[in-house]
Amino acid sequence: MTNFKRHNRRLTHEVFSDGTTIDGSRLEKAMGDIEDGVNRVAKGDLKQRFVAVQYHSGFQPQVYTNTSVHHFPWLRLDNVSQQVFGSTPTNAPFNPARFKGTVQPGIDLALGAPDAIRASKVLGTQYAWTRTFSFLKPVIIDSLTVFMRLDSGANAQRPYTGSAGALGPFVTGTRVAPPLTTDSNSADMVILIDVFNPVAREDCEQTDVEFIRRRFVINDEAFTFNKPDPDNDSGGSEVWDDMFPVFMNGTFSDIKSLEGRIIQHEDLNIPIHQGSKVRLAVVLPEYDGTVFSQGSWGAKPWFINAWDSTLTVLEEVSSV
Amino acid sequence: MAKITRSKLARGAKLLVEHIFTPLTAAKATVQAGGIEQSQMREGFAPFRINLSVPNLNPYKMGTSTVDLKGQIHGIPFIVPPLQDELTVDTSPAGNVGTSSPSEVILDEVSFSFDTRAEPAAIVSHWEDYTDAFPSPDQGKLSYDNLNVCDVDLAILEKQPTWGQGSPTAFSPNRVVWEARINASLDLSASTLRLGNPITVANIGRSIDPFKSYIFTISFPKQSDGLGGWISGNTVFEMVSAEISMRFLSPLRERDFAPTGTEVQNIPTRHKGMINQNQASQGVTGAGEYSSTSRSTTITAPSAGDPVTANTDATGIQTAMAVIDEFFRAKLRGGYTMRSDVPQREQRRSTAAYSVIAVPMFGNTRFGGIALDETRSSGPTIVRPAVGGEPEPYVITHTNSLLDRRIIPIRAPMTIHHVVAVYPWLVYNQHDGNTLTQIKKSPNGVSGQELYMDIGVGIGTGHMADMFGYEEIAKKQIHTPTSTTWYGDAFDLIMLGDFTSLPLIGESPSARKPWNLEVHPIPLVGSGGKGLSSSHQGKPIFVGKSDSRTSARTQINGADSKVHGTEQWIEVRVKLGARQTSPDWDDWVASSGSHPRAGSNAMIMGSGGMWVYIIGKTHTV
Repeated sequence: MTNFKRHNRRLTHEVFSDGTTIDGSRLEKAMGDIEDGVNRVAKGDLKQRFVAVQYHSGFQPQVYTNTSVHHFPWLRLDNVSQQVFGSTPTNAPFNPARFKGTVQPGIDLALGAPDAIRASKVLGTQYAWTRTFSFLKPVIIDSLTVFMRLDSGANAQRPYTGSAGALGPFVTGTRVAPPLTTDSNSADMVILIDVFNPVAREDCEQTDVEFIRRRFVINDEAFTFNKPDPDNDSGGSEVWDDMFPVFMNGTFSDIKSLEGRIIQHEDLNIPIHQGSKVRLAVVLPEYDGTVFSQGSWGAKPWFINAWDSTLTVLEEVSSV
Repeated sequence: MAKITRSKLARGAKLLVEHIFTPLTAAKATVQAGGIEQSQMREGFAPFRINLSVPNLNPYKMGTSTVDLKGQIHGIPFIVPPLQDELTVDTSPAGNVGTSSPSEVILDEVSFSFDTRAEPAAIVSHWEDYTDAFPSPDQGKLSYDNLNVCDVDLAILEKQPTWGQGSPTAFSPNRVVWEARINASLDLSASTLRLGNPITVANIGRSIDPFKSYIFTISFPKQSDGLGGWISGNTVFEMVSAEISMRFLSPLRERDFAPTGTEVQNIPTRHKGMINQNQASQGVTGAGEYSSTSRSTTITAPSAGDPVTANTDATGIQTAMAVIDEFFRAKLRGGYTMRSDVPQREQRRSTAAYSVIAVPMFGNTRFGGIALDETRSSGPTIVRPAVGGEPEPYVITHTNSLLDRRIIPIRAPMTIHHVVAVYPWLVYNQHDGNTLTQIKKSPNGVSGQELYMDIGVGIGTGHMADMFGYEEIAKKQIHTPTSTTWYGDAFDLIMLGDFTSLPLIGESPSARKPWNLEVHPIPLVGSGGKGLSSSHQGKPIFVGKSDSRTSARTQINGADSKVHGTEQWIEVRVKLGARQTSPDWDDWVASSGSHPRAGSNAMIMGSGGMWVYIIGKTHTV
């Protein structure tokens, strides 16, 4: 179908009016168009022509108090000469700042400082868990959910409490950079989705940030404020229906319910162009611990909670 | 409904009613009855993806029976079985045979990406120079040198499952469906364009057999010199945040429906998936939606001898054509809303698509798998899943089971037909602070050394809600990996790599487990369904968010849903214990007469962790 039409019909250009000539050829053309339209329905004629595809990832990191083996998939945000193992090619690193919108009070990556003095300027650092997707055909990003799972109950040996030490989950320490305040809720994590420029697919300066959550109070994103009884017995609040297997073992009997912080956005309706390279990143802070307290994050912010990340994308129906 | 047919109006032929009004009436009937099928759609295939997210991968995580890392390979099995309404199986001691001809599945595209901090560099592994310091203080850094040893081989292998073999003997894949190599020097080293990351191969067009099993494999062909050690001076590189996406195409199909309320569990009773059950026959096209006034959907054929008119009366040609045209201008409807409701009127019948959600479990342990350890610090010896005395999450003492749970938010409604779990016994290496140890001994199953795996899939409600609870979807318990109580119901038992990649059984130096990957069907709750398990499973289960109109559901497992149609997420849980009751890992190291004990460094789970696949139908939205 051409874009310009003198009429408002969909299936055929042939429109008949009384008082004008009836042309057998036009009738045949019109009926052929209608037959073709009904027998070979184009996807543009479908009201619902997408299917949802979910990209899910999740894991339980090692216990915080254990000797750290690795911090993968978290990688440092700053690409600077001090982060190079071995020799550095001319002009490398090519993307000193990997993401836009991640600047955080209390953390200075000193990306603009000369190599010789950077060490004296750097204050803290940030880590990102990055998932990269490739879409050859146009798609629509529909929803994003990042769930930071915490253990319910009060057992002191729970691995995922949202805190590296005695502090509550996701709170600052005593020395914080404004606008954060002492012993308040943290607001220093970033979640973003960006798309690379199709003609500059490796240049992080030319990405389009299609979605970003930053400077939000993490504790305001509770999974629920109506907490179910964590050990699900009649001694607490109302008993709830559980599933098999019950999430407990001999030491932990009060981690049954679900708790944590959930950042969930639906109906995003973000169109992504064909041939795109898309990143979903979660960025966490690691404060220096001297000038600014590390707060609940501690020195290993990636170990204080379990993770679930789900991206839902709508893809069109297609032919083979 | 069949496609419409018509008599062509040839030159010189007399214009008859059947040239115009007969096909238009048939078209209207098809559209109004929700009869547009997949065969009538120009784009009649829907994509689905199997998306595998691997947090990290390195050659030591893929260790073979020696520390020689040549030939190391990591594999993730998957299957795309026929959905229940297309599944017919002849069960036989000689091997099950699938006798149905399900809808085709075509491998269309494979894409693969990993995180290199947006640089043309490798990421240094924590294993780098491990004899000097472990973990390496340089882990996570950029290594522009030695990128040339970071080639990556990808492949999809096909295998005849043991489910189809009477006395299984064929454990190895026997066909390569697809393969590709990322040549690091060419594809990963440029500063301005790196086609190897992500690498996307499209238009593959390979048919996938729904009665076979498949394995996606990753290997690093240049990370060893093949002589038993590293190429001197080369950096150990870590593949971080690998995203594997296999895109398949399968024909759109009719969605599940429950005319008597029993064919589909947990489906909204408002419509039970039926087409056009809630509204009276559509007498007019919508006023204001695409015309200023409503238009009757009646097509009235003229009588013989009547003048041929266009649009001045009800028997006009243009009048009749406009009825069909306005259905198309409003666009043909079919599928579900995000709240599990159906459109007021539907014109399409084929609105469902094959769907797979891949869920990783125990996927980011410190060294890739889980092994038993004996604590050597002061106090009594504690045997438990640990490394160097430092335990895995939730394991404090020898009576604790391992736990993991994943939360997948429900977005578009789906009906779940199958749940499949993959259990690995892939050999790997760990470093306990002093030495490198290869984890290669699997449990030998003697009394007291059983391994119990409980796995369940459920739907939950409670996010920012006043209530909280779960309803079970699928569950299974298996135990004793050397016994048919563990593997007897498996769909497939796979040997990946050569025989040196197979774990030993217990302490035996020669007896090896014949396979190192397992594919297990997990039955849906209820009964009367069709599945791959010898255990009967339930009928398909509808899962979808709802509002007040769609929260009332048909029964699930013979009772009203405990979440009352308000499910918000799918949850997968796995629990691994030493025994069913009073689990005690100490029994794994205690002597047991002449039976060799599994002992310290016994493998509880191999490298890579488990994968759970939730398979069913999603719907066009």
